[in-house]
Amino acid sequence: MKPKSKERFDKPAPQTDFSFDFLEGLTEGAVNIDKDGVIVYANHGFANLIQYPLEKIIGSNFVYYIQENQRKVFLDLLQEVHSNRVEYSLISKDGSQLYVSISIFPSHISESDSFHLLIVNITKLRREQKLLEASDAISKVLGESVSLHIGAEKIIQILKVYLNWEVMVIWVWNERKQCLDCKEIAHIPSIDISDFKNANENLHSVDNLTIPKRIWAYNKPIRIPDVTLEPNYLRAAAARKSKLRGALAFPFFEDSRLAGVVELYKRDSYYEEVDEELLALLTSLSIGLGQFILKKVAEEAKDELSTLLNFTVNGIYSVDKEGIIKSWNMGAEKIYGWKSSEVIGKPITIIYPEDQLGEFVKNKEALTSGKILEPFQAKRKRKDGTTVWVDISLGVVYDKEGVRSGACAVVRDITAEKRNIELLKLNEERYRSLLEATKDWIWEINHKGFIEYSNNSIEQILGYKQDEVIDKSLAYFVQIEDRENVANSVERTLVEKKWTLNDPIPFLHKNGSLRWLVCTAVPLMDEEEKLTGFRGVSQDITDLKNLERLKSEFISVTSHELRTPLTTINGVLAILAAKKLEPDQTKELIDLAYRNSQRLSKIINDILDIEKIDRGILSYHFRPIPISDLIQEAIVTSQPYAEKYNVKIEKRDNTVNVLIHADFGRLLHVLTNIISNAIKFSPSGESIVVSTQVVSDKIIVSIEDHGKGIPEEFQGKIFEKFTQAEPSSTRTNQGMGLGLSISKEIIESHGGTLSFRSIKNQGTIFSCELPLYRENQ
Amino acid sequence: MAKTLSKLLVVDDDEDLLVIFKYCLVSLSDVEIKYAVSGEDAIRTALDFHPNLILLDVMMPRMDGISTLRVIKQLPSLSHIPVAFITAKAQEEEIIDYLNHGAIDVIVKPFDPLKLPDTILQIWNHWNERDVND
Repeated sequence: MKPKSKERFDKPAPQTDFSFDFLEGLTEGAVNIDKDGVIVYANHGFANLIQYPLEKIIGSNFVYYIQENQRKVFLDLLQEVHSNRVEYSLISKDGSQLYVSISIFPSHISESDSFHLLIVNITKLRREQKLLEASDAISKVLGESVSLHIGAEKIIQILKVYLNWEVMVIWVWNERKQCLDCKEIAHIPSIDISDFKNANENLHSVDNLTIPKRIWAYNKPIRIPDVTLEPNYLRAAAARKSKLRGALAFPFFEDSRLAGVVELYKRDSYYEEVDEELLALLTSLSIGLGQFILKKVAEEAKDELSTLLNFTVNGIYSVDKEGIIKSWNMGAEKIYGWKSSEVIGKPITIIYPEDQLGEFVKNKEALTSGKILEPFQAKRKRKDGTTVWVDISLGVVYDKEGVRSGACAVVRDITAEKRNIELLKLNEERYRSLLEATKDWIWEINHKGFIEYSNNSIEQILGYKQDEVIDKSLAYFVQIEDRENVANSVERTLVEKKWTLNDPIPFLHKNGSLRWLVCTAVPLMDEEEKLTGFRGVSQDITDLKNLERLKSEFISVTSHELRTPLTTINGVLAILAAKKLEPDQTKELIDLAYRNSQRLSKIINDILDIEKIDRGILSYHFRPIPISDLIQEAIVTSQPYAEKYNVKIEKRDNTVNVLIHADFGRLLHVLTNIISNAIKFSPSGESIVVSTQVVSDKIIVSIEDHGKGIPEEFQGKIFEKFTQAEPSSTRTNQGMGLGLSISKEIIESHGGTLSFRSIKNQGTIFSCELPLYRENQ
Repeated sequence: MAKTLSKLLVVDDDEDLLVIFKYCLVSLSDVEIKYAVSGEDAIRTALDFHPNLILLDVMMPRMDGISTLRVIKQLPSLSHIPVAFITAKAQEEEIIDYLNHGAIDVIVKPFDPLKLPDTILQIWNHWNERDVND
């Protein structure tokens, strides 16, 4: 509350005898007051200070010039008799605040109590002091704050205390966008500036009318007493809503480079002059802030980078000169399984497998010598001991002085890729080995029909080496009479882009033998769907063909062999049923039927035996038997047959009680079979010889005939099933071609061997070699 | 006017079967029948006997039916004699093969012995009709 002029000047000035003439020349204020504070005397110095005319000052009460909250203190002090000096705030006529130091001296010159007051203006001193304190506080804040946001909050609180600024806006130059970005808006907590905040964020500093842009352009502070009244102030409406009036804006620098603009706002109008002291504060603030902001921006960028580095899937780590791990990002954690806390300070060799340590030394030497290493792939060890494949880029790290301080690595986990490549290789290998392992001939022909690829099987199938078939046509390998046909078919296939040679093709083996191949192929196309050739598989079905032929022959032979006796039996029964016959005729026919049914059952038994032999289930009843009994029985059994062919059987057996361990029935079957063969192939009137010979622990039974001998080309196949020397159509009417095959099997089951020697037009000798019976057998 | 069958040669290496032939061909009382047990025997007999018709087994040792037929067809004095095969080897393609070789018909074993005389006469008549038409 300002002193009322009425109160101040109503009272008449008290009379005094004291002369104050000597005080008139003082620039400081000198005042004499009575014990109630009424001014008895005031010099011009005081009048100048508070800017009231002297005549109005005299008679007024001094307390009215003192700021209201300090008046009581002043009046209390007047009750004390001793001198003192206290600082007060005075209010001058224009309402501005003055800081003064008032020294009070009690006066004993007159009877009545009065006080001499010496008033020294310390406003400027005080302000300087405050600015200095503010400056210190701000410096401290800038030094301690971890972020621009926190720093700005603290600074505006300091500025509020010392200079009554309530809002601070920081604009930072964006080099890329070539404009000022509103980086931070800080304010004291008791004020709501949301409208003003929005206005700032929406303000485009590229507009030259904005304060930040103007400061940027003029590079010096601007003071606006009341922004709401400022015509060029674009944020006036928002400022009005947030009740902001006074403003001060100034640039700040980083290394003498203009870095941004700071705006300060307060809710009072701002008329104070921007004096040297304030400029000094602003300068120090701007420099401190400039450094701070750029440091924080850099730190944030660094934080961003480190976040980026940390979260990248690539492993990034660094080591010092000794190979001790200095940094280790999350990527590295993921790749190697080691946490950064586990590995920092440890040697990098923990990720090297034992057998790769040489590589570490090599890399270290290379980096030391300043070599630039190309990225390479390497095997590393994970924490759990498993192997990880990485793609590594190594680089040298230099310190600020440019001295090599270590190395850094960027690694990428390529284990999966590697595995895929391995798998691919494996698959390729598999296919290759499959191509080479298959019995089928796999080939490729080009669009002209010439072979471009062949697997190894060609050698097995047609007897040619792989490289002998390259550049030849398929037709080249078929028998001459089919060449033209095959060549035409291949040509048509190439035109129609569809493989049509689906029937078995008779190829010629290099040795001249016929090979039946079934060829299937798929067309090969290039990217433009143009036929480039065919890839095919040719399967050798020669054996299959032979088998088919054999099967057909078997059926033919079997049916013939079964039908012939059946025809006779059938005939006998039909005749017996239909005709009245003489008893001897009837007997003849019944004998006929009986003999033929015997034949039938022998054939069926042979077929069953061979099937049992194939399945390994032909049963034997071994016992010791004299070989002579067996020979005798075989000859007796064969006698009627021999007589029929007019062949004599000569026995040369001198053995007496020579035992073999045998199944009598089955060996008899073998011997009669061989003997009947010998009879069959002997010319009429000839004889066959059945002889025995003991050689050490074996006995050899030989059956010799004097026939034409076995044709040479047939000798190799004589023991095969369903085989007879002559083509099927001329096959002797009895026999399935199973006899020798069964015989050989039976002899071998007795631990013996069956072999023969045959000379053309001289005859054949079959020899059964059987082990002699031993007691403990 | 169709010729009457008066001479028939039956060739089979299975002598048991020849017995059956003899019994069941008794009914062909007007036909003189001779038997042979091999291809060679058949040629020899035919040259001597001049049959009107030959029934020839296929599966015979040394000289089979087809070889025998081939020889018959090459001998001027025999080549006009019709030959029918009588065989158990009578799969479809085999029968075609026989006919291609010049056989006039095929009797399949086992045959019905009581019907055999009629079958032979049918074959003979059939052949003769064809001959007349020529």
